[in-house]
Amino acid sequence: MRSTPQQIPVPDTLDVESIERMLASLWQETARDSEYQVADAVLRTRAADLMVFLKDESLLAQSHQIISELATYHPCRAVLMAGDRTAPKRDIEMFVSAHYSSEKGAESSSLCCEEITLTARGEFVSELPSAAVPLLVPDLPVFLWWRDETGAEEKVFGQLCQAADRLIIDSADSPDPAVHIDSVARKLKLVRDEEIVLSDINWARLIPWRASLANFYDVQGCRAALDQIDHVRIDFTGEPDTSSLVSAQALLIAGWLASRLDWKLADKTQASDSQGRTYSFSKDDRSVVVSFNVVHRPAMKSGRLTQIELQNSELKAVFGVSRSEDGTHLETWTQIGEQAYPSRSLPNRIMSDAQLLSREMEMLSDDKVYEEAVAAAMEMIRHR
Amino acid sequence: MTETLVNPLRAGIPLGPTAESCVVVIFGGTGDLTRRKLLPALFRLAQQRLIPAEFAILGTSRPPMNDEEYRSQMREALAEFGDEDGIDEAAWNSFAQGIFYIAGEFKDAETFNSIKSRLEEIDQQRKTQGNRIFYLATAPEFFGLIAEQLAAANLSRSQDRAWTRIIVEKPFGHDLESARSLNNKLAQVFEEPQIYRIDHYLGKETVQNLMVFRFANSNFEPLWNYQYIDHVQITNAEAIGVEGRGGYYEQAGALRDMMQNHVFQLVSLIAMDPPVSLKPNDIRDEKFRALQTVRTISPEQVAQDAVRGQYGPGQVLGQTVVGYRGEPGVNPHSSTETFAAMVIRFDNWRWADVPFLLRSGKRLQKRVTEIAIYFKEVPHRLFSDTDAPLEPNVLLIRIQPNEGITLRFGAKLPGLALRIRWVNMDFRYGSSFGVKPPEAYERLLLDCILDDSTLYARRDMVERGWEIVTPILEAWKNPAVDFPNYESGSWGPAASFELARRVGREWRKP
Repeated sequence: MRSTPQQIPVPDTLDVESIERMLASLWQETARDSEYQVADAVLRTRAADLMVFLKDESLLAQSHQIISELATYHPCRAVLMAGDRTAPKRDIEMFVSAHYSSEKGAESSSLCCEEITLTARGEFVSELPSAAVPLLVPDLPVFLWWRDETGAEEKVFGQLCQAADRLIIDSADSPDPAVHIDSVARKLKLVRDEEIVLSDINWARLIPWRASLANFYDVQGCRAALDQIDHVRIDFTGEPDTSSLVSAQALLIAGWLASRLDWKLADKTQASDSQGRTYSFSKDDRSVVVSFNVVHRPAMKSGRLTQIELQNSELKAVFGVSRSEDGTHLETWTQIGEQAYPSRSLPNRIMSDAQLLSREMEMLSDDKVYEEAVAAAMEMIRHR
Repeated sequence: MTETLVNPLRAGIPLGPTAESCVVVIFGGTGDLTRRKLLPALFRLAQQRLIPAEFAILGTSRPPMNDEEYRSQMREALAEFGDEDGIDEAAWNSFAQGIFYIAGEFKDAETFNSIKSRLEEIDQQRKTQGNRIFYLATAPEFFGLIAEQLAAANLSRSQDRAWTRIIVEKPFGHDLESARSLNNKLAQVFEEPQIYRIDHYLGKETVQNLMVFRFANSNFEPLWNYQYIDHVQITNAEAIGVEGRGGYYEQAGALRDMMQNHVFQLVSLIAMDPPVSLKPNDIRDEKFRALQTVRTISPEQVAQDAVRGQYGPGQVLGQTVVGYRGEPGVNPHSSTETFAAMVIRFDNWRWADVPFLLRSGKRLQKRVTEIAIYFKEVPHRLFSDTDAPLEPNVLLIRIQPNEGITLRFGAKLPGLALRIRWVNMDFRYGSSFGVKPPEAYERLLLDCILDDSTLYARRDMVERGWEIVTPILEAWKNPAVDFPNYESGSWGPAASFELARRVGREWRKP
């Protein structure tokens, strides 16, 4: 992936036509690039519009990089907005740049992302939606990646949601996962009103875990033991003194299991000790205990899952998924009584933010499974 | 058929369906196909969690060796033909635990009794539940024999709640008679739904995209008929020669090797009507119906509607190459065609009077497989005074390389004069999505495990393909007097261009 060497400032702020002219000249310059002087040097395909809202300009450089990588998978027009209401007042500034890729040995390069950056300070932050939305390319799905967990820009958020088809957040962004899950739940209500769809990058991080757990249920010989599991142990990384906080990943995976397996949270059943928290659920006439445990792994980001075990004490069955010490693999194993099933180790590719975002951008319909997982997680949070 | 319980955790996981536990028994377990394609494909499927941990491979072939030696051979194959990034050792070590080997001769009944008892052991060890796929990655002369031996060892029928399937590699016969004979042999042992005839072309992403392109877009389908389409060209060109397979190719030739199967599959996908659903047999019914309406070429018409060619020496991609008759294993007076072109017509409403021009050959100018849909010209030449002649709109579907779709249309050149330039609107899979599509064998193997036969050839389709080419095969039994008749590195014999001209068209230069 290559990019134009620098961000080019747009002189006529808020003039859509001048921005389109700037972008057109970028295309022409790329076509004239000596390396690609062939008849159809620049090809263009756009599959989406992507709006990104940043709580301040500190995330701009990282976001440029993510979009550059993302454009390989999703050729798009990206509109980045950085709004810092606490900074001294300054009018909106705009820049354009482009990212293009060249396949090895191919006759041409393809320009796959036009990026427009808008920065605003002070009260001008409120004007960002009116500047950004007219820049969207019509007839394409519009994604809004909201990177502000503070909740301070609710009006801007609402205006941008009106232009979007899908809202993308990252529930791992917040220092207090419970507060963030709560915020997600509120956003879910809002997006339902706006008829747009919410997705969570942190949820995408759980796909290998969910797939590994689902694999256990694919094996018919395991179903009897799985249908009667009575204890679930979920380990995640954290500092020992943060055991009162269950990570967003742990809450989401527990909420997912509870919602998919139809467990009901029992009243006043949570307990906590120095290692973590415990919740009780009921299913028909039996109970399922879910325990969250903090493990210390300094090399890994805080809040990440390290191991999940589904246990059936009556049949002495354990279905386990654990992350290898170096984090690169997920290992699964099954033991039912004396009988061991084949275990295996599969890559747990640490996906970049761009790859995770890309995965979310592949789906346009709403994710009921996620919504139900959040609802179940919210119930646990209310009991804390 | 196994009764499948609904998996409560599967919903919403964007990895596709996971296959059931099973053992894949590969006859020809040490062969080139296994090493290059099958083993890497199965390993990738496992890495993507698309096949379960309760999975096993039982390779079988002549050379005696134990499981560990076979695993070591397969690891070498993976290093050579697997992902460029190298082997994930942890993943390989757990995958390799499910790889087993048994040596034996296919003609020896004892081999199959041993396979049977080994499969029972594997079922216990790997929890594979009695589900089996027998993959015939052998020379075609063994297909019938292996099927009979499987039946004799009571391995061909599903046991209890388990399932049994068989995958047969092409060629599906040598002509109509041998195809029917092979199909009859397989039918004596297996039910048709158990038989998966693999044509790896159908596993390619663009071939699958043809269905999406035609039936998920409303703009092209109304034009997809005799009213708007002038003709269709399908080109399947290879720059390589017979690559050491002279012995095989002498018995095959371009018509059998490529036209009758790969090219006809593409024809049926272009010509078919919309299926009523995406169920495998609904799609295959429509593909078969399309081929059913291909007009039979009479023996007298063969010389008019078909052309054969054989490459002589020449230069391809900057290298001087020998002619076909100079290739190892080839008769120096061979009449085997390395190039075949034909024009087919349909006796149906949609394609009335729309010729389909088909060509396939080796040692052509470059490697390309493409389908070109030529639309009819505008009814009135409004822009007759421009300096460029009006050209037809062309929709180009490239299968390989650079899979993608191009639409060619006219646009006004900027300036005061009215000048038209023909431009391409280009969509390329690789550069548009930046995602490497799965290998054809990955898709096809997974489909077989999932009991989805959509991308596999059905008996009636195979036999219909042979029926269409039978008059040509008969006519071409006569020695060719003008071979070699095209230079390596060209676009085939002059007669091929005359063939196109006879129907009032020109071959495009891909």
